[in-house]
Amino acid sequence: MNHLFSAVFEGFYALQWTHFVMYLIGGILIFLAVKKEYEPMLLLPIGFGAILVNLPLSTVWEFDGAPGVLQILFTSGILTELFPVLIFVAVGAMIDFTPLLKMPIMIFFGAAAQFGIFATICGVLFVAPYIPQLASMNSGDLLKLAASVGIIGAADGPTSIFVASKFARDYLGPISVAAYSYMSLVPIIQPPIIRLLTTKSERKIKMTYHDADVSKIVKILFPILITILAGIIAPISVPLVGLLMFGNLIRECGVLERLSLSAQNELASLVTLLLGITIGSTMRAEAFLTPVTLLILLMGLVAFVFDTAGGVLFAKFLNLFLKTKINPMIGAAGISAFPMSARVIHRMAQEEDFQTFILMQAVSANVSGQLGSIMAGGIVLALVPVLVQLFL
Amino acid sequence: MTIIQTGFLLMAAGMGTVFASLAVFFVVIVVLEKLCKSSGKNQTAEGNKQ
Repeated sequence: MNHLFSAVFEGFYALQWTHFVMYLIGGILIFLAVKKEYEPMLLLPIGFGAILVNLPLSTVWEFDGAPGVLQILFTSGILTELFPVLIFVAVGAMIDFTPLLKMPIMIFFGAAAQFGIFATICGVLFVAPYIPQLASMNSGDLLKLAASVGIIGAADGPTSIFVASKFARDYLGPISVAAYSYMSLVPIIQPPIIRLLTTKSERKIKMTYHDADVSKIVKILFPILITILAGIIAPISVPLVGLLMFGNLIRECGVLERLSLSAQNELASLVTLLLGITIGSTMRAEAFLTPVTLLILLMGLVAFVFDTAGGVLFAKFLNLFLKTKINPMIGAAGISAFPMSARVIHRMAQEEDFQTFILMQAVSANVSGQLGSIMAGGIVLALVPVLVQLFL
Repeated sequence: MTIIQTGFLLMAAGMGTVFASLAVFFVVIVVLEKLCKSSGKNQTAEGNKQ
């Protein structure tokens, strides 16, 4: 009779207070997705996944020694890097690189705005000795974790997941949540940093825009050549750059419209759906409710702040040498959060002076940020193991 | 080398490589544009002759 009683109420017996905290966190993510519309396509599945995996006995993860549905998705979609890479095909099919091809000089803002990644890596290494869980880690693992946290500054969810799945699988949940949450908070994070680093007159700088035609052959050759070059410069970045550019080639070739639309719609929706709920399933209470999660959330914000600062300060540095000045706010659009960042920058310029139109320049910088973030992800993946082997 | 120093080395090498790789992409875009523009001009000139 006792056994029967235990079997019926085993869910109640297995409940712990930490589960309720995770239901609350999952609920907050769903609230942000539904009510505030912050990255709803990802935050909602992540929030629900977090609730699912923290139900008593966590049967969606494992049941009777056999892997549950979410563990199967995690093993086959995240550990193999399949989901983030498939997302890149979809993203590539969605991106129009024409603004960058019209103003190629803007590509350098896509590099400058990756500063947050590396500043955050150093930041994590500075504070690590004060966090017991990290202080006891060996140096190599700590550098890999710092790199995974820093890559939140790529402002690019799939890149963050890709790097974290290689370097810090245990922290995949908080890193993904931080990456997607801060991406949706770009309109709140960037303006105060930009205002702090620029004067009113700098924000009013007007920029001329020459609308040049970009031939179809350039649009087709661009993804092919970039893939080859990225493969030579940072071979480890090929799964990211290669499939992004594959998606873009499908878009630009002009003869695969059906595939392009499928990649932009069906593929993007399906993989996002599975990716979100699978990421949510990594948020188990025992792994998530630790001081390291708080550090990841905090340092993710730091990464976005330094990204913005890096881009703006780079533009100001260029202005020291240029006769025709650049509006330094453009630099902040060099992050990968597309097209949100470009819109924010343009709106800020319009608020300062309604005759300041910098949307196209901001979009160019923003598209460059997509390339810059992927290259930065690949470069971090290539450099960290070498540094660990040589110096740690 | 301490881990902090390694972090700074990663920052220098990482930012340097990101800038260098995007600089290569920049050159590719500019060269592509120039090649396509010049071939376009040639085609127009041939068309005018005909």
